[in-house]
Amino acid sequence: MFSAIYIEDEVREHDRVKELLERFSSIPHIDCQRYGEVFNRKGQNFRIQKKSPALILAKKYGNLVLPSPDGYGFDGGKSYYFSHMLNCIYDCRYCFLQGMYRSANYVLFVNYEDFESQITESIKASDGPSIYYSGYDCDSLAFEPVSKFCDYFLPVFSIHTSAVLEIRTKSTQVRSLLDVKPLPNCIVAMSFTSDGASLRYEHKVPTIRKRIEVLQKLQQAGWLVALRFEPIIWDSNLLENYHKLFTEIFHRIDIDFLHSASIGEFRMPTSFHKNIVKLYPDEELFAREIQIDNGLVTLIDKEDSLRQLEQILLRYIKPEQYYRCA
Amino acid sequence: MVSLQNINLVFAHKFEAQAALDFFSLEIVDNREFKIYQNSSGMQAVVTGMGFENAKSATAKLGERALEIGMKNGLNMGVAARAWLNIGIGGHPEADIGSGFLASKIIHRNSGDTQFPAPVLTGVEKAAIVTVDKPELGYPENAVYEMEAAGFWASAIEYTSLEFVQVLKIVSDNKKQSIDTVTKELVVDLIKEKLETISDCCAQLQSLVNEYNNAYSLDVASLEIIKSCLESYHFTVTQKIQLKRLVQRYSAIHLFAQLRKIVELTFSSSNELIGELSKYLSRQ
Ligand code: SF4
Repeated sequence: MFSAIYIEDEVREHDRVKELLERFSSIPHIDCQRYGEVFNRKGQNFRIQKKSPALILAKKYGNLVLPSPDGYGFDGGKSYYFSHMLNCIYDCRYCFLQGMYRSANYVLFVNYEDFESQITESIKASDGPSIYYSGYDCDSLAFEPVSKFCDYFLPVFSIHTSAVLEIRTKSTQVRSLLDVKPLPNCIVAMSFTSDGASLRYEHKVPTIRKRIEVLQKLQQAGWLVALRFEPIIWDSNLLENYHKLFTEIFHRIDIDFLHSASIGEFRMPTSFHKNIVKLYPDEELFAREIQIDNGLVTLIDKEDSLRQLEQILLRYIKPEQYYRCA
Repeated sequence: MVSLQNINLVFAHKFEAQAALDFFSLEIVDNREFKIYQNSSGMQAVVTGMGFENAKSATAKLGERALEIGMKNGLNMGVAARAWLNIGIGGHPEADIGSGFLASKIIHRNSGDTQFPAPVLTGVEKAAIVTVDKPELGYPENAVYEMEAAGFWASAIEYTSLEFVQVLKIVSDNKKQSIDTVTKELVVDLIKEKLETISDCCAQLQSLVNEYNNAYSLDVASLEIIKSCLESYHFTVTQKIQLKRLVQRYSAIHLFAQLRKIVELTFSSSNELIGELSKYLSRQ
């Protein structure tokens, strides 16, 4: 599963770490002072490391709960994100993490207790509802068997009912959700691209069919689910492909119990895009024409497909269920 | 045996090198400052002499040489990456004589610097390596003690991606069998017994480097197009980089036939050619 486990001195004695080291005792355990010694070094190659990533167990300091970027999620109060993990076990070619980090190793910040206290503080400081996104720098559920993220954080949100937790994912690791009573303030938001795009760009990600099955199971168990159609990557049959995808999904999902659906185009900061072009000079997606606006790279949408796509989606859902990721 | 053309081996001492030089048919090609070896497939090796500074200088020397050779062969459009393996003996408190370890970290005792080689190789146990200035007789930590790895690392990472810099040490002495028992015959034998491991590490590195080079170097058809452009027009360094990226983009978008058509046209300057290549892509 990992090529090695690096352990920051600071967390050596943490119970979560001890348990993981015992569980993965046959993998080399390597001590380090700070995770940056391994993770932030110059001269690494994300693409090569992705073939045999290591796990780094570390402690996160400072602001653990941050305001989410404008337009990241749905309306419903102030929104924040927190990252208990950096990087992802999947390998989506369009993923911005490849351009954001120098290393493909997974960093797991094990001081969940500190995350909890900052989340609690933030909830208490909000006068009104607030939304918390996990899975911004990783896919929270995909790593669940190792991180036990849900085991820890669901109980936290169960006592703070004015706060909403959105778990954004492409994973089918939902056992920890199905094993407990559904939380009315927790949304499992599944991301999708069209079938063709998924086959082409989403390496190691569960198939669309499996993801839909899992959403169905979650809905049947009483969990709120949401749909995130992103990133939209233009191709000649885009509308047709998404039409097919929507039909497949809405045939199985109960729209009345759908929290929300959103569409977001391919978008990332220019510096990340530059890094990814260097990493994948042979990739068609990064050889395409781009436009840069306000430091953000997007692909050129000559046919105004995004608007047309929204029209198709709105045939299935109510307008109040929809938002566009800015 | 698989061709290990992109591997650089670094040894401190000729007795550490002897068995591997024979095994890989490496012949001396430079006998001046440091002894440098090469075989017909392109694998190279250097014998550095003892200690951090020697290891650092000799590794840099081999790095420069590999770079020069690469430049001559390739239109200055990026040199094929090479992997580096430092092979040598060391002392360990407990491990059996003859045990092999890949470095999980390299601690330079003198400066306190710690480096972490990427754990990309499998099949060999990992251990911390401590580079010391004088032989360590007390073996205070659970690590391999030796005198060159940190110097080797400092130079090798300047020439390649750090996943391709690795250190393999074979235990020659321990608490039960002191450093005084290490003879040149023992050193030769220890390395000889580990040739299969060495060869396997080289093969794994070569396979990773192949993948890297396939991803990052231009294919023959692209190189030919660039060559013909360079022969027809004058390009500044920046323009060369732009041309390379444009050729990569045409190739990635499967517009190679169109690329050929455009470069066969006549332009007044390299600038005009680059402009036309960009314009065509923006219309796609
Ligand atoms: S699932 Fe999300 S976080 Fe993971 S690789 Fe894909 S885009 Fe990146």
